[in-house]
Amino acid sequence: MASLQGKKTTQNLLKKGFTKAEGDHHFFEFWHDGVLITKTRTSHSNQDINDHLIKAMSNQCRVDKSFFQEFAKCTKSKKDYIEVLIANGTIKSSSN
Amino acid sequence: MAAKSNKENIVNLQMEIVFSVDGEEEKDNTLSWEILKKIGDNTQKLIDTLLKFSLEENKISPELTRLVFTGFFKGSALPAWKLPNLPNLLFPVQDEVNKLNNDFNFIIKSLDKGNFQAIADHYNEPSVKNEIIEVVYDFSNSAGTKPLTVLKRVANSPDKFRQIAKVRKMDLKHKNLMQVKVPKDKATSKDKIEVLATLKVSGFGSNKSPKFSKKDLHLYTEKEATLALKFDLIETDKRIYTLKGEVPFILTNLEKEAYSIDSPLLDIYAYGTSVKEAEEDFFIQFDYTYQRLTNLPDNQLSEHLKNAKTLILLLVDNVKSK
Repeated sequence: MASLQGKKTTQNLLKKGFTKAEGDHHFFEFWHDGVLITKTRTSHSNQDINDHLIKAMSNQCRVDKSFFQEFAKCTKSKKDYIEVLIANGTIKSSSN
Repeated sequence: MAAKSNKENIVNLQMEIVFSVDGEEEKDNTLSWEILKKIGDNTQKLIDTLLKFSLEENKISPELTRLVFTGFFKGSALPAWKLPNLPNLLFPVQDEVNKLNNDFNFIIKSLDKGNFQAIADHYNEPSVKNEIIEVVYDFSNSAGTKPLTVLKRVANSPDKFRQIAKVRKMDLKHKNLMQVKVPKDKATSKDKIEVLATLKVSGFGSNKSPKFSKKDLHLYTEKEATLALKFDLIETDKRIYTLKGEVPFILTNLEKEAYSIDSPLLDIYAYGTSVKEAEEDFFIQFDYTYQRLTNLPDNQLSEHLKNAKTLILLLVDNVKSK
């Protein structure tokens, strides 16, 4: 079963353009061209993120699990992420 | 074992139990059908559950303790119920009814003091404790956010009532703290299979209002799950959400000690090592989703988050800050 390091994932999400939500540091938001595109949350206390939480987070980030794992480990970039979001219709191509 | 009526009882179910609901809408002596029904249903559920666990033998038929509505009195919204008169039976059951009445009084007096722990401590068997806490939780929240009290007629002035107990609301946090985990092999054989429906919402993106329709039926065999997931209100540390529609979700038992509650339409994917933990995660995310999305204009939201905003606004009746 896959798992991700909680603290590392948090740091990497921030590097890839996610921002912490105001008032609750467990929630992260991805904004693009002034539009809130996706939101997700990490585990409490930087615990490791287990397979089920990875699935939940990838659903909220609108990507499949394998992409999310690579994204969280920094083998996929912000540009890759935006391309997937455009391809699956989450970001409207006109707003790109 | 024979039981006598306790002299310190404040309510006699065989005579009358009168409630008062205090709220802005009730000042003109009206009460919503929804609240009236909830008070009646939850009081009956409490009586049925107390009866189930109070007797060593099932000597008394539940039909004999089916509440009857006896009146709706002026002064505020004052609905009243009582137990039916006992018929002449071959084996008299007055002792059993006394025992039920004593147990009911114990619950009312504990709620009046806000001493929820006393109720939990009174029952040793985990499955019994959990079931009692569940029905007391429902009963104490029957009037939603409105104050609920128990009244009694003033002696020699039958048209006047005095307050004898406040029904203090048990919050979700207390309920979850007091309930204990029951190992599966010790679960009561009376657990039932219940059916919950998820809802399909259509009409987003058009000029028509979104419509709800039943989509899938899900069977859950764990009582804990079914009881915990009938959301009438959603309570977090910060706020209480009163709902006017059913929250669409799918509960999945992923594996041993892993549960998810997913609501793709609301963009909420909750997870926990128990149903309660998943429920708490769901509530936290529901709170964040509501607060965040409703505070952003539609043009700052992606399409699926705009749809989630529309749905969550349809579901929530009102929000009360703590």
